[in-house]
This record gives sequence, structure tokens and C-alpha cells, in this order.
Amino acid sequence: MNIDVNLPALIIVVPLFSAMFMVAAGVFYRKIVPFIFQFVSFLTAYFSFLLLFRVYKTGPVRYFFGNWAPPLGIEYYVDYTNILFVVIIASVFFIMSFYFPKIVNNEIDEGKTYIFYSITTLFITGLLGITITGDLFNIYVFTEISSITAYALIAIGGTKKSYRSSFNYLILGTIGASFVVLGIGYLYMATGTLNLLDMQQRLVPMYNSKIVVVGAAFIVLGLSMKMALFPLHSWLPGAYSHSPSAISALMSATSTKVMAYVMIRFLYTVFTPKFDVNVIPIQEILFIISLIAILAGSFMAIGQKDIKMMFAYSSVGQIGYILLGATMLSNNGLVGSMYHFLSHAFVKGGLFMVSGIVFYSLSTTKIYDYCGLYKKMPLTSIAFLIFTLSMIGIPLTSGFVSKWYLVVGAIDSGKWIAVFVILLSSLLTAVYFWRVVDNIFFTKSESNNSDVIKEPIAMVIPTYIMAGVTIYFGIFTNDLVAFAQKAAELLMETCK
Amino acid sequence: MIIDFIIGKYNYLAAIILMLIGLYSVIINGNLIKKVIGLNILSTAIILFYISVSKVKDGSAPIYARDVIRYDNPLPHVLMLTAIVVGVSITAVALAIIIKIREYYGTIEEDEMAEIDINEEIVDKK
Amino acid sequence: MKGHIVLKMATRMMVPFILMFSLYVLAHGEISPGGGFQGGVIFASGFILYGMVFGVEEIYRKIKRKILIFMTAFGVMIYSGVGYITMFNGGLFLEYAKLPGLNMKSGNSMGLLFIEIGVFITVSSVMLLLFIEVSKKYDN
Repeated sequence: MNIDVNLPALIIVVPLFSAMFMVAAGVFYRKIVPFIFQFVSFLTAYFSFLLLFRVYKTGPVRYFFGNWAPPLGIEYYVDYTNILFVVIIASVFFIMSFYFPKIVNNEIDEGKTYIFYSITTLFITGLLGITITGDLFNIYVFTEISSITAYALIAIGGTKKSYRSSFNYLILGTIGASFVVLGIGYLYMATGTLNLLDMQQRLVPMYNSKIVVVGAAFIVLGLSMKMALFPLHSWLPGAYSHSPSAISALMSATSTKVMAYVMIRFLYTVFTPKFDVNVIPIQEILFIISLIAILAGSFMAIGQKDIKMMFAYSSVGQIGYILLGATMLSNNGLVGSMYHFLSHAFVKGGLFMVSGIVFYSLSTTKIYDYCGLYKKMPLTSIAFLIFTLSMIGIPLTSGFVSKWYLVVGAIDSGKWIAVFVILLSSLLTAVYFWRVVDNIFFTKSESNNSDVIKEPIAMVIPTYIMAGVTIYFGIFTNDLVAFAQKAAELLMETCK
Repeated sequence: MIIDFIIGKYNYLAAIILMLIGLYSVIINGNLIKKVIGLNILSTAIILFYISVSKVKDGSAPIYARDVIRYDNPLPHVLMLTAIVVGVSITAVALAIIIKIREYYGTIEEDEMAEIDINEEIVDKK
Repeated sequence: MKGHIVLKMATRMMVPFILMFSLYVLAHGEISPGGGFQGGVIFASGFILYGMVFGVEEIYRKIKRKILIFMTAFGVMIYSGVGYITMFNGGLFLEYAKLPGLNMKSGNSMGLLFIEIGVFITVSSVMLLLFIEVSKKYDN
């Protein structure tokens, strides 16, 4: 087999095949499934890195399924932007696969574990598929794969509330996806093609057509629903806080951000900024909404009593950052957006992992119960501190770099209000995170029960790897920034 | 004028009206099963939209036959086959979740569930 | 409904034909309306009819749940397995022409049939599984 040629397909097909293999094997021998799971995550990450190097060397890669050329067949289009996203998702998946077994055994019925691993792999398959594909309808299909599995994964938590929030997510997610597919239908009606690059060229002469405008409106609305942009975010807090800890970590690190990527793809590759700015002011509207989202997410996070709820609302704000960078129409803004994707994937994933460890040892998610945690679980507390610093944006963490580039991008495009909002929101982030840090390090636990608890090392090590990644990309920024610049330039080419 | 508009674009109008009916029933009904029915109507509207777009004038169904010159565009049909499968799986997941909700709450009415949740929170605080 | 002699006799007569017809739909998937999905649903509906008339326990006794779950996964594995074979043979994913021993024409026909068989297995077992899981709960 020629691995090099087939890399884009392998990234999707290997997890898809093995998700089913896990079920088939799990029916007969359950204990082997976690190992298959880890092996698959390793393979996926390995292939994605191979593809990264290949794209880095030779430029964008196009892969035709079944060797049918694009307007007819399905194409996988890998350029500098989406390979970055693929690598991030695959490596988060790889790191977390070592975190999974212990917490899964703790929280999920034994009879369901092999199904759980299989569905998780399918979920990641869907997300990878969304990022890697170059076909509009494929985006819809993979969106549905990842969302249906997400509904199931949230519901597998098995508490009253998890079923309700899963159902909520199902209703809103399905409506969002239906809007997206309807919008794609309008675009297909206008152009007669479903290929991203093909559509970009065919759309140019008909920007003033009402069909295209309506299609764009449906797509933007549907995607905003799926990515939990501020006024449409109501499914997100429940979905993140009532799902099993492992799943909230994985989902918060990947799912909504992938939708943000699709939004960037639509704004830059399918519609091109000429349409977004001149015909209908999508960029302008999304810019304002993302500013509101940043502030609203931070404000809502301040009042929460449950730590997972607090993280979830903070995620609503962070999605605003990613979208903000994409709507400023500047290279640096896009770089900041991509950097924030990386930073937030690792930081928020890590924070949920910390809350998972605490839940594993103390079975609580209340912020109040975190009092005096440093005495009980020093390693976990320090990991939490590192992630907190990165969330706030202290130098030497990746959160600082991403915010830096966002601010530079805002200054480049002359949008000073964005600078103000980013700084204000950093302050708010400090407020609500410092409350927890204060509880952990400086408040004494009331119950006087400050024995050191044995921390589960198998879960602490992956958490520290996540922390290491954030610090690494806070110090050695050059390579990644150069790569993101390249990606941003390719996206901005349509501007000219 | 308006008659021309309706006759010329009746398929889009039908799709949009169906879609609005679906959305309305998702939003307005407290009963979870009715919400799922609303979702199904919504996805049916989209299927109708795609299929009506694929029609070519004087075209026959896109199945190979000897004496046919012109076929409809088969691609939207194929896409909608996928969308039907997606709809089936969403319905299955939704119904499974509803069964579980019914098991835990004893009801599938949204306001009654909210009441139960609020009562529980009050008990927790005490 | 259970125990009615006419129903029982009619079902016994109809089920084999339903199953047969599903295979016909499967085999003619490439050239006429039909294919794995439709065939699979018809296949499952034959069993579901049997279960509705004779009781779910009857199906349960004949087909183990474990086997059904295995078949669900197995169908998708056939599907992607065909893709793997084409890749190992030097083609791209699902490039049927590169199936071993087949050329462009026969490969496209046969490859499609293999994939439809995979879809058939998955869909029929998923449908049966859904029916059994939901009805098991409210049967008694």
C-alpha cells in the first residue's frame, strides 16, 4: 500500500474501521477494547503528523475518492489551515486516550464501555472528516456523524440531567444542521457543484443573486447554532456539565471549534471576503456578535457554582475569540484565531481533565468543595494553576500568544473596540478563575480532613502533557506562527 | 402577479411552509415526542426541497431505461438518501433518550420536568 | 393479536417471500431502485413481522443479541474493508477498478455489490436491534 498517497483517506478510514472493530471485538472480549482505542488514537495522530510534514513540504494536497475527479467525485482537500486543525484534534485525541480508561471504568457501566470507546472513536472520525473534506455535503454528513455520537455520549452519563441536556442538544443541533444543509442546497441550486474550490469560482459572478444570499444566511445561522455562538449557546452548558468527565474534556477541546473552522472555511474559501463585506455584511455582524459573546460568556461564568458549568460558559466566550480573529480580515487576526484554537483546545481540555481527576477522587464538581485542594492533591492543583494562567493570558503560556496576535490583528484593521474587549475579558477571566485558585490554594477546607489523597497517576500524566504543550507553545512560538501565517496568507488570497 | 409568483415557485413555497410548520411544532410543543415529530417534518421539508430542485423539464426518473432521452439530476436524490438515513438515526437516538427520560422523570412534558428539577434544587439547598 | 390462527398462517407464508424479495432488491441495487439500505430494511421488516405476530421472545430465541451487535459492526467493516483492499492493491480508497482480478467494468459492478452487502448487513441488524431493544422493555 502506498501510505503516502493515501494519507488523507487513512486519517478518516482508520478510526472509522476500528470503531466498528472495537464493537466486533468487544462483543466477545471486552478487556481488549481500551488497548485498541489507544492504538487507533496513536495511528491517527501518526498519520496526521505525516500528512502535516507532507503538506509543509509540497503544499496543499488533493485526494480524490475512488479516483473520480472533483466535480463528479468527492475530494479531500488538505491545505495549511485544515491540516493544523486535523493535527490538533488527532493529538488531543491521542493524549486523552491515555486519560480515558480509568475514568471510564469509574463512571460508565461495565457492559457499556466497549460501545463507549467505539462511539468516541466515531465522534473523532466525524470531527476529522469535517476538517479534512473538500465537499460541502460531506461536511454535513460528517457533522451529523459527530453530533449523533455526541448526543449518545452525553446521554451515556446516565443521570437525569444528562438525558435532558442531551435531548436539548439534539433538538438545537438538528435544527442547526438542517439549516446548514438547506443553505448548501441553495448554493447547489445556484452553482450545480458541491466542491469547495469549484463552488468558489462559480459563485463569483453571481454574488448579487438572491439565492446565494439566502443560502449564505442559512449556513451562517446554522453554523452559529452548532458552534454555540452567544445567543444560540443554550445547549452548551448543559451538554458539557452533565456529560461524563472524559467526554466533556474531549468535546470541549474539539467539537465547537471544528464548527468555527467550518465557519472560517465558508467565510474565506466558499464565499470570499468580497461577498462577506460588500454584498451582505456578514463579517461585520459576526464581529459584533463575537464581541458580545466574549463579554457575555465571561460575565455568565462569574456567577457559577459548579466548576464544569463555569468552564462551559467560559467556552462560550472563547468561541467568540476564535470567531473574532476570523472576522477582522487581517492576517494577524487569522493567525491569532488559529493559535487560539490550539491554545484553547489544550487548555480547556486540560481544565476539564483536572475537574475529572477531582471528580474521580472526591466525587464533587462544586467550586465550594475545592477549598484546600492543594493540601490534598498538590499535583492536580498545580496543573490547574498552569491552565488558569494560560486562560488569563499570562506570558510564557500559549494563551498569551494567541491574545497577542488577536490584539495585533485588531490594531491592524483599526478595530480598537476589539482591543478593549479582549483586555476587559482577560480581566474578567482572571476574576472568575482566581476565585477557584483562591479556594484551592489559600482557603482552608472546613472538614479538617486534609490527608493527602493518592492521585491517579495514569490520569495526572496526560494532564501534565497537555500543560506542557501550552507552555511549549507559549515559549517556542516561531514555527507555529510561521505556519499559521502561511495558512492565513492562503486564506486571505481570495481577498485580492 | 402574485398568482404567477405562487405558480412559478410553488415547490419552494411548499418546502418553506413545511419547514416553518416543523420549526413551529419544535418550539411550541412541550411534549418531547411532538418535538421529534416536528424535527421529522423539518427534515422532510428539506428532502422535498432538494428533490424538487433536481427536476429537469421533460426529464424521467434517473433510472437507466432504453427509450429515455433526458434524466433528472440524480445527485440530489443520492444526497437525500443520506439525509433520510441521518433523519432515521436522529429519530432513533431521540426516541431512545425519551424512553430514558420517561423512566427517570415519569413524564415527557417539558414544564413538568422543569418543575421536578426546581423542586429538587430547593431540596438540595435545604 | 397473538395466537390468531389466520395471522400466524399468513405470516408463515409471507415471511420467506419478504426475505427473498429483500435479496432481490439488494442484488439489483446498481441498475434499478434499491440497494443495500432498502434491502436491509425489507429483510429486517420480515423478521419484525414475525416478531409482532409470534412475540419478540421468538426472535430473541432465534437470534442472539450479541450476534446482532457483531453484525452491525461487521457490515461497516466489509464496507471499509473493500476500501482497504483497493488501497493495498495500489489504488485509492474505494477505487473499484483496482479490486484484485477485476477490471474497470466488472470491478465497478462487483465493488458496488460488495459494498451494498455491507450496508445490507448493517442496516438489517440495526433495524432488528432497534425493534428488539424498544419492544423488549414494554413487552411484559
